[in-house]
Amino acid sequence: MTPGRVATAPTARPSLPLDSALLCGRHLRLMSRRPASLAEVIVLPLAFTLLFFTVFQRTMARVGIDYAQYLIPSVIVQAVFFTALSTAVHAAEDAQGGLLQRLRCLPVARAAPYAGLLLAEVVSVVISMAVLIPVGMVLGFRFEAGFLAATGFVGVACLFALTLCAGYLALGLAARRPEGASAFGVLIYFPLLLLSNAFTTTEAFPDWLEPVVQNQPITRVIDALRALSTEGADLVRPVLVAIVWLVPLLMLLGLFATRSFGRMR
Amino acid sequence: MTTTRRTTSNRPTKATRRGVRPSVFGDTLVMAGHSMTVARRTPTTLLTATFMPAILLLTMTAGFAKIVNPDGSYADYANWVLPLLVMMGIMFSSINTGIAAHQDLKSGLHDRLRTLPIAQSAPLVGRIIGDAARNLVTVVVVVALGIALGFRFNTSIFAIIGFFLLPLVVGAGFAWLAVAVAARAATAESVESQLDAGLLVLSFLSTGFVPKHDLPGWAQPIAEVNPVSSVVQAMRALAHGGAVAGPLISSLAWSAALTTVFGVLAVRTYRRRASR
Repeated sequence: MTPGRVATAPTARPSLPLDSALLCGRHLRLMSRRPASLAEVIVLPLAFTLLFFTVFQRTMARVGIDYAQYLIPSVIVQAVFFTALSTAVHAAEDAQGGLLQRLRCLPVARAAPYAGLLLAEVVSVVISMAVLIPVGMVLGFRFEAGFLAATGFVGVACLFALTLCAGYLALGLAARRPEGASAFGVLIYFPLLLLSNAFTTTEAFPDWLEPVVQNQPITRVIDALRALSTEGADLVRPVLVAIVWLVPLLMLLGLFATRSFGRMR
Repeated sequence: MTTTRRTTSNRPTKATRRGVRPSVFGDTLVMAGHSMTVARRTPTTLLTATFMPAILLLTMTAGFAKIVNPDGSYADYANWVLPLLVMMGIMFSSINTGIAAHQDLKSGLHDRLRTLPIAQSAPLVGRIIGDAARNLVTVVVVVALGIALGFRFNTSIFAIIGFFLLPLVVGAGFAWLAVAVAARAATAESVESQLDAGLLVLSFLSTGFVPKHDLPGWAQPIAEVNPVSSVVQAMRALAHGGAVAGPLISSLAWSAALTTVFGVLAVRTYRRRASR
């Protein structure tokens, strides 16, 4: 084979699914080798689950809430945030280290670098869930609404993961410095998660805050996850509301990510 | 000056030796200034020291006041939970202290300092003092926000001064812990992952968020011996009155123990690294 033939050979034409899978594998390998990923995907979500359950189980039981059932969707959403925060850092590292620039001058599908990263982050969210759900079941969590709803639960969680990670990917590419990306990411994470009904009830908030808490996307996603794991809950409305939030957000944030990717020098 | 003289004669004269004799006090202050400058320019450190405890105070008060004490007001819970959030801000900031210490070791700054005629203790002690200044900022920010939410002192001026000083004293113990971890850690990331989960457990399994009787039975003895509980109780007593001696003594004992154990460990590890 002469060099000229390699360049024009049909095998050199980039394939999006293949390149994405390859770059997803690279990210998963990198993650498996960094202690911080183990902390974000498994240790911290587990610690928060056990600690919130221990500390607030009795007080929540007093207001009539089965906290294990209430908490598992919330800690999954929190785990998605941890993964998303690391997405921003990974993206900024790749941008800073020049890998993304290098990939652009190779016959690699244009979208593959970030499709691969997003895929890898969704895989790590699935790993988080695979740890949190059994632990939750030990504490008393059940998929009361049956198998189909449980599948829907995982589906909504993955759609949420994809949306949030796309947003943080855009943030990481825009920030370009891993340290700045993670600091800015935390500024978004804290208010969004803590001003939701994740760990407490909407009614516990002061009256003027209740509408904000009730209608923000994180509460909506958690409502859908709770409906999908509660027996006899009205499914259609909360799930539809969550999807109506997530799909346009995913498109918008995906657009931001694509644009900051295209703008990179 | 010194260098020119040294080139003229190979043996330093008495005068130059006296000129470069290190001043413990001055060198420590310079190093404290260095660590404060680094902290001021590191966004993560600023966030952990000010934004995190502030947003936790706001959201925990807004979200949990009615759950923890249905008969109480939001201001009551702000008064109750504020000391824990001050301590969380300080403890989690110590992770950044560890990361900064690790960076100085990795970048070679620490080795460079050792070749200079400065007091041996200055880099480490200066870091701990610089930290205390940053921690004071945390206390002031959280208390200022707390006052807006209804936090009030109703004790003497001496108790209030104690309220501001105690977290700094205990914070120094945690700073030594972080520096000791950093001296052994392979990467800055591992400093963070080693400290994060432990500090979370200390913060939660305490009497900071809920009263002891609201914790499950197995967690109550843990909360009782937890240093965070002692500090939080001492700070509550210093702000609102009540029995202060017991928790105050046990907080100071914890701080002394942390400082001694991890101070010795940190200094030893630093020496061993240097002799390599």
